[in-house]
Amino acid sequence: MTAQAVAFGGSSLEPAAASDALLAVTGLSVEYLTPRGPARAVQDVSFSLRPGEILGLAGESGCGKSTIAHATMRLIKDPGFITAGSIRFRDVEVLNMSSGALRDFRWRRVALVSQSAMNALNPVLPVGTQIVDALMAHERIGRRQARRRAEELFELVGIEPRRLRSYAHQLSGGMRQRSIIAMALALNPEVLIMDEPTTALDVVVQRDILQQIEDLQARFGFAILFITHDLSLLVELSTRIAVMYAGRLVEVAPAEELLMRPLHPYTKGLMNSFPSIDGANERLEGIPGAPPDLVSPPSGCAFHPRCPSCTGEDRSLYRLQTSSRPELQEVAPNHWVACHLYR
Amino acid sequence: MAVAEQSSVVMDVQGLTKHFPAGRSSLLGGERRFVHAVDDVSFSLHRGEILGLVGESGSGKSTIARVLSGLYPATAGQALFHGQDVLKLRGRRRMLGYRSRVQMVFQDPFGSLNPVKTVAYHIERPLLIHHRTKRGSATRERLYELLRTVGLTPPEDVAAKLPNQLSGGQRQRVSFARALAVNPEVILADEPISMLDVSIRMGILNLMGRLRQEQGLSYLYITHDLASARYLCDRIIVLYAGHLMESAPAEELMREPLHPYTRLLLTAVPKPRQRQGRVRVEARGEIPTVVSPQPGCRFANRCPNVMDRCRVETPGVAEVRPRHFVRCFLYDVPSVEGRSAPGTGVGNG
Ligand SMILES: Nc1ncnc2c1ncn2[C@@H]1O[C@H](COP(=O)(O)OP(=O)(O)OP(=O)(O)O)[C@@H](O)[C@H]1O
Ligand SMILES: Nc1ncnc2c1ncn2[C@@H]1O[C@H](COP(=O)(O)OP(=O)(O)OP(=O)(O)O)[C@@H](O)[C@H]1O
Ligand code: SF4
Ligand SMILES: [Mg+2]
Ligand SMILES: [Mg+2]
Repeated sequence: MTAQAVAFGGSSLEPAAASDALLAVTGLSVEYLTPRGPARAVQDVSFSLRPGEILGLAGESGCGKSTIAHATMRLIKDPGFITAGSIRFRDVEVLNMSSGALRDFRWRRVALVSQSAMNALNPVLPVGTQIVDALMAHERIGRRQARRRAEELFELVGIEPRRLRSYAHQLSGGMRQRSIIAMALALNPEVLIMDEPTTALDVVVQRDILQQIEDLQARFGFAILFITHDLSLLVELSTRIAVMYAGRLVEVAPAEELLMRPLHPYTKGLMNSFPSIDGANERLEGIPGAPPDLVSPPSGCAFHPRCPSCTGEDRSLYRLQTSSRPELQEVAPNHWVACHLYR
Repeated sequence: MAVAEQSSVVMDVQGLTKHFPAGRSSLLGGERRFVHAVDDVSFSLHRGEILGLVGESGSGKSTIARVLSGLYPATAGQALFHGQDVLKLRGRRRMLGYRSRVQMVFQDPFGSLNPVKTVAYHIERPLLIHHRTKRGSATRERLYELLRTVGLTPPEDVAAKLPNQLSGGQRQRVSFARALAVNPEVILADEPISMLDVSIRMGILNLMGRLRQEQGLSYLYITHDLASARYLCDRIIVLYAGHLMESAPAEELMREPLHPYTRLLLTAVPKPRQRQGRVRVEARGEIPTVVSPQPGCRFANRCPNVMDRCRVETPGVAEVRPRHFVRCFLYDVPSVEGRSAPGTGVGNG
């Protein structure tokens, strides 16, 4: 537990990291109350984001990625609760912020492109009005100037500025997603959290937008937490990648390293189940077995019931896998994995 | 119609066109303008076929699915479902009958589920409306079975949840299970797996493949994920700015794309294993929404192969190889006179 905190708070990972981290999340746990008991959606997760960095977060559907995003913004609602941990933004504890500070934090410091972006626009106002209103509410600029800024932002995400007059229902799924990205960029945030921001974008538009964002990032130096199920995208985009399973981080490594040398059997499984557009078109099975129940997760390593390396051949390993939870350890420089195979 | 080959056609779409009003050209009246979301698109869907629909964001994919499911009236064209034009269906009972055979999975899993109703409600309701089961234990059984099929376990827990208690990918699977509930003949699936990780995604894709095999289910599969389209589809249609640009058997389209837009699309797919580094996409053009289109190819301002002719004439669709259709002057295609009118497309994708 503390090993993890230290690792991603920074000190043992990179000596200077702790002080220059924009955002440091340590030991974060989130539960949702359900009729059968608490569902542990996020457990003891730590990571930090430095200026100019893109941290990718991947993992299967329902493993807790959006919950991390929401918790970081302090947007978890009843019946969900942050049960442990700390979220520090520039060394200020977000969990203790007053509501005024929180408002400033949520828009100007950290912006979220939520997974429900397609559904997040106000249906009764033109999208342009929504951006202009947001700009005017948070920055000292006039309507004309705000309008011009909105047009630039639309241009940036590849929508004709004329479309600022459209209502949400008149836009395609991808256009709505891009409008939300434009809105998130509007106030020049220091941290941008993007939760599956490209699910409705074709690859050409996706690349184009990511390039625009990277160019902006190079100019302004903001940090990005990029959440997606699409590992191939992350490998290209991120500086580091964190892989999550059943509410916990199970592997964290630089992108290149993760691609070349995935260590956790779950990460390996993910890497092997991509269909591709060239080569033989073979049947792919994905990772057999069902996602774990977060109310009563498997004992030991949560992945053990689905793990191809948990065969029982080695009795003592099997006992560990089924009864003791592996901690994240640095097994190669900057390469962290939580798995009993790497004792 | 009596020809054996054609008898397996479930849905035959000809010259499908959908324009949305887009205000007037000037504040003082002026002529009425329209967004040409879909112009003259033709294809047919066979029994047990999976037809991919890919293309630029905003190119009209969702509009096609919505028109075919009766949510929007068409501007022109016809869509014969077992010989009957579904664009002219009138009356609640007929519509209900059609809906029980052709189901839609919506693109936005956050907007398409009723926030105050449980998962059980969403899936049981179509079962009851279409009299697939009687209220009671049979309905419950079927509900649990469907949830298990899409990997939502334990089903007893999931059934009682409200949509906001589910993750994005979990909602997407609820939508898919809802479409499967009534055993339809056709599923119009609009980005059904866009929020699923590779593993669960493969499960759903393989499920789609199995139902096609076992029950002859046909799909119109809209996706941005070209690799999954290749994996699953028999044919793929490529759409750009409301026009069908190319249509070919899936494997052939991937191996030998003919249209310049299709080529652009394929080079932009991330290929992490090839370690080619990043491909910078050079063609950052205006991404068009087509209001009152002028003659000319709709891809012309971004096309690396553009010729003078492309800016003044509109290419038509032609079968340039067996079962391979394309709309581009690099190939021997006719020119469509003036603005494209319904009935000009010969593409029988
Ligand atoms: N309000 C809630 N009540 C109960 N359970 C919830 C609630 N919100 C989320 N959950 C559960 O918490 C888990 C984590 O959800 P989360 O949205 O963080 O997943 P995710 O990793 O973002 O998945 P996806 O990739 O599908 O979006 C899921 O299993 C979900 O069912
Ligand atoms: N109700 C509407 N009123 C006006 N214009 C509309 C309406 N619905 C769609 N459009 C326009 O029609 C065009 C096609 O939209 P459509 O939703 O079909 O695109 P799409 O191919 O599904 O895109 P995406 O991949 O981004 O979802 C877009 O320019 C869109 O703005
Ligand atoms: S018709 Fe001309 S502009 Fe259009 S795709 Fe072909 S070559 Fe390019
Ligand atoms: Mg999510
Ligand atoms: Mg769409």
